[in-house]
Amino acid sequence: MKALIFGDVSPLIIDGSSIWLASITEVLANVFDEVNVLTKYGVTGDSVLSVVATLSNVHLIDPDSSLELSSDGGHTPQSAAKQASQLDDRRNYAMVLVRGFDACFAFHKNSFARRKLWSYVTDLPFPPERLSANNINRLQNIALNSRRMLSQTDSSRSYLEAIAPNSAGKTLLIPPMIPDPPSRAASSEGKVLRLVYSGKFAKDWKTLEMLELPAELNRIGIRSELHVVGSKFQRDRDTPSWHVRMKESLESACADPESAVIWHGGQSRQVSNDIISSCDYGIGWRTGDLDSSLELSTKALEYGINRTIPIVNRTSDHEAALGSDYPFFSGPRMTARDIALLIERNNSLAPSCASTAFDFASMFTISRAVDRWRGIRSTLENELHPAAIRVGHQPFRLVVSSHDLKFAGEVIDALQFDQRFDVKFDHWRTLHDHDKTVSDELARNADGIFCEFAGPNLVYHSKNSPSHLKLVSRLHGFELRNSAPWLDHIDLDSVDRLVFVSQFYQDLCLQRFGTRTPETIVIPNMVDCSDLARPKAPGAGYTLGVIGYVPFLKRPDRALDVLEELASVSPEYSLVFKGRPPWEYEYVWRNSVQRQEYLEFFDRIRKSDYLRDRVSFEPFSTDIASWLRGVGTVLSPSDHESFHLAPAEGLASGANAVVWAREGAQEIFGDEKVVQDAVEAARRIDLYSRAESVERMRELNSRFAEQNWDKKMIVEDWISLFLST
Amino acid sequence: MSGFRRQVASRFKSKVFLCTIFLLFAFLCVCFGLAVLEIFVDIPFWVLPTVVSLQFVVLTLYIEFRVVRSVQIVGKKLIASRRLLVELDSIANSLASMQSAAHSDVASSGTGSGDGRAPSPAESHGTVNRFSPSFVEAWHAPAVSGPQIGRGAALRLDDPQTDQKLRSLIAAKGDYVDHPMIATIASAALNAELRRENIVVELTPGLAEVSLPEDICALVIESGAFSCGPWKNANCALGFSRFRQIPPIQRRAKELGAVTIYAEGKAPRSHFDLSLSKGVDLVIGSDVESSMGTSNVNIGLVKDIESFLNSQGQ
Repeated sequence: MKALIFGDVSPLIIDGSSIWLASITEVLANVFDEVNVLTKYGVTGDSVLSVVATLSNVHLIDPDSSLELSSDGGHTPQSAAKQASQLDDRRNYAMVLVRGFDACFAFHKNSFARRKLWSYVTDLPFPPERLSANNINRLQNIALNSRRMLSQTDSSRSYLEAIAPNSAGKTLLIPPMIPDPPSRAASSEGKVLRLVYSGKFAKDWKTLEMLELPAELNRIGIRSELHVVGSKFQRDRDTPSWHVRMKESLESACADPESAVIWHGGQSRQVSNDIISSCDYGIGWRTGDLDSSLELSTKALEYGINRTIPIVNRTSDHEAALGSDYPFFSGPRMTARDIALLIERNNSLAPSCASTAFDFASMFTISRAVDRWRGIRSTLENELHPAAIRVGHQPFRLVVSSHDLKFAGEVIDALQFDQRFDVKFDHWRTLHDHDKTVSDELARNADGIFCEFAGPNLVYHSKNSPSHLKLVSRLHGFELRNSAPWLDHIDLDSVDRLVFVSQFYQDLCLQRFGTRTPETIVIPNMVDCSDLARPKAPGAGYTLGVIGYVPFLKRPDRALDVLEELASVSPEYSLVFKGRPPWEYEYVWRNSVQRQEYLEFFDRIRKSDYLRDRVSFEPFSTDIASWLRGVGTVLSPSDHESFHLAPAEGLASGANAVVWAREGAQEIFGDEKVVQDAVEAARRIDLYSRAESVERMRELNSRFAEQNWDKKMIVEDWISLFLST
Repeated sequence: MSGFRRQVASRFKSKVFLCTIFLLFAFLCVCFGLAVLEIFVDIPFWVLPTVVSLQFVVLTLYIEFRVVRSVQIVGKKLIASRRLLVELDSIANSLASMQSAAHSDVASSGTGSGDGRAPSPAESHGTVNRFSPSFVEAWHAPAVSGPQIGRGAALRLDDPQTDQKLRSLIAAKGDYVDHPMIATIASAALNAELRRENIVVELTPGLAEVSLPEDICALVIESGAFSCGPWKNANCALGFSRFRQIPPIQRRAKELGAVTIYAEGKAPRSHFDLSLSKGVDLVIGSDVESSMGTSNVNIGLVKDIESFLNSQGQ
């Protein structure tokens, strides 16, 4: 299995992005059989990639000079995309990983993109005021045409999924990578306090102000030294002369032994780490502008892994990582004297803080990243099935026939990326309306037909498609619940299999068709557990969520009953309805009875101060996994559901699920999740929230979902359904 | 008179008119010329009819051409007027949504009842009824072509007015009527019961259809109304003149988007009762068997009528 990497970064200078390129290459070299790195510039002498270039399965590929390169001889995003396409024709990569917005945009136009492109857009337009229609459109296109999207943190993934809904469900985390923990260098304990800064010199990193730190510490009686590693002086847009002043100040401070500033210049990562590990405190003090970043600072991790105490700004991300009581948080408005006093005040806590920072940083080592990528590789192998495709064997030509594929997303996604299948669509405009010529043409050239919903599409194909085809259909319950008249017109002898999402509807079908029933099978709906398993946001335990509240048989009024029941327990509970409002479903809003039910539902909220303060409505969006981070309990109060994906997704996210008793509910979700009324629901929710081991319960919920509905498992059932003889 | 003169002058200026006059004039000249010529010269007998026929053909062709042109012009005008109607409709919708927005702004500015307490039906002084079927308009999302898979299948254009609509529905205060308005053909006892939570408009024979307010959210017809009061005997041949006023009311109520309900007592059904109950959305009976799918209906009014019927023991 081969992988190609292209980063829109220069390997000739040392900065965060070039170090990332080296790290990811090292990680993938441990996972893939062969890793090709298409470099932006030709690499000749020493570079940040020198170390990885020595690995036997890593090949650095210089820009092809016959292409239209930029004036400095480097790749433009377009030329890189073109060369990557040529390389893929020859080497057939399993994955093409690209970093950078422009590069991803250029690569998404390649023919291999949908199957192989893994896009890592690091320069997301953030904060939101930088968003533009053009940016969003470009991101949407990248996401639509990429096999996977990558994000560094949960925050950046949530943001990406919110602004580019096409990325929802296909975005993986790729946390920062730092070298494995080194042996700690000899400390300067009892002598001179050693501070270190490693990175570029930039106004936002307060590198000019930090040169005063040793002097300020000396003033309060602490002898200290500041070690500075780096050679890149970043220009500042607002202060054009800043980088000159920075360089002059650094040079003069270095020349003055009194200043206690030691500048080591640009160093390799190894040397830089050696210097860091010999110091007591690492400086990550910065302006507020950088605090609003969605990404983790690699600097803090590098300090932490070397058991050097990071002095970093107090942000929600840093608090989550180091604890809110971590004593070495700086602030953007602090002065060098304030930082000196902070060190003096908390110096006695240094050993425990070094340990805290080390524990956190340990989660981001190269070894951990290799473990994560091994898991990803195995998923990739399952999808590709290279061994299953033998020369001369055609893939199974499957036609998917339906008017509505909203429940079939995961199945079709899996089949489309499986090389054993060639999937085509017989799109029905409505339940009853289609183009017969297209349907016939597709059926003639197919090995099998999958009718999503046993509607008139199944009637048509059971009567008109060639008899040798494998004809499979999935019933969702509405066909049986409403005694659909077309069911009697299906030529059941032509149907190979009927698929149900639950046992209840399978039984209903057997009752309906009796001995004429074709072979049946229950394959439950599936959820992408790996995508849904995300950390819960603070306060999520007291948030109840309802996903989809139209039509009224989903009983949003019952959710209000529960919230009112919980009023006596805790006023902290709130309720969020997620989905389109009823007036956006024209057929529902034109139904006078349902409209009246909704008007009374909204009026009930209006009339109650308690409900009005605690009930909110959020519009439909595809980023359910991100949304579920803020939800502790998913309610499923419907009168009827053939399955109901929402509580299953909730459980996979670690949330509690409360399902009202209805036909088939117990069999799908088990007795523990099913309640009879709002009183019982409120009692269950309260018990769950009060549980001392909430984390443990979240794990159990996730495992329950994984064991029953995980995509990896269910997809196999579908594949064998079509491929078995 | 001056208007008429202008019209005539403009007619004369019109090319069409001039062409027509010219053709007729030429026709008459040729006929006259031939007639005069025949006096002096011996013209063969077939010449005059042939020339007249040819002129007739030319005139016919010309008239046909003018008719076709006129039809085209009328067609274009019709299309233009349809477009205009569509535009007017869209302007009306925009005005309605602006009105809705204005109401929601009023709601947020808190010029309503003040203390957040919902006023009783009698105290409702607002201008727009929150329960009116037209209070919140349905959103017609443009259709998406081609197969949409998974969550993407639900992606479509959102209603840009959703926030305002939601605000107007759940805002505590505002210049709204906060109680449902219902029209009834019901007994005095049921009317009294329904007046607790609703603004009740009692329909009277003769005025019923014209007095049906556009804001009603429900029309309730109770079989008990036919036992006494203004609608007495409307469910039998004796009161046929009153009976036949009811179906148009039902139709009008449905046009307005109101829920139509038939509340049936225990008295035996007549053909007239059956006819009325067929034209409604919901039939509520004092015994469960006669209820038509109301067990899953979650409307306060329906529950109130059910409990009334049960308490009456009809």
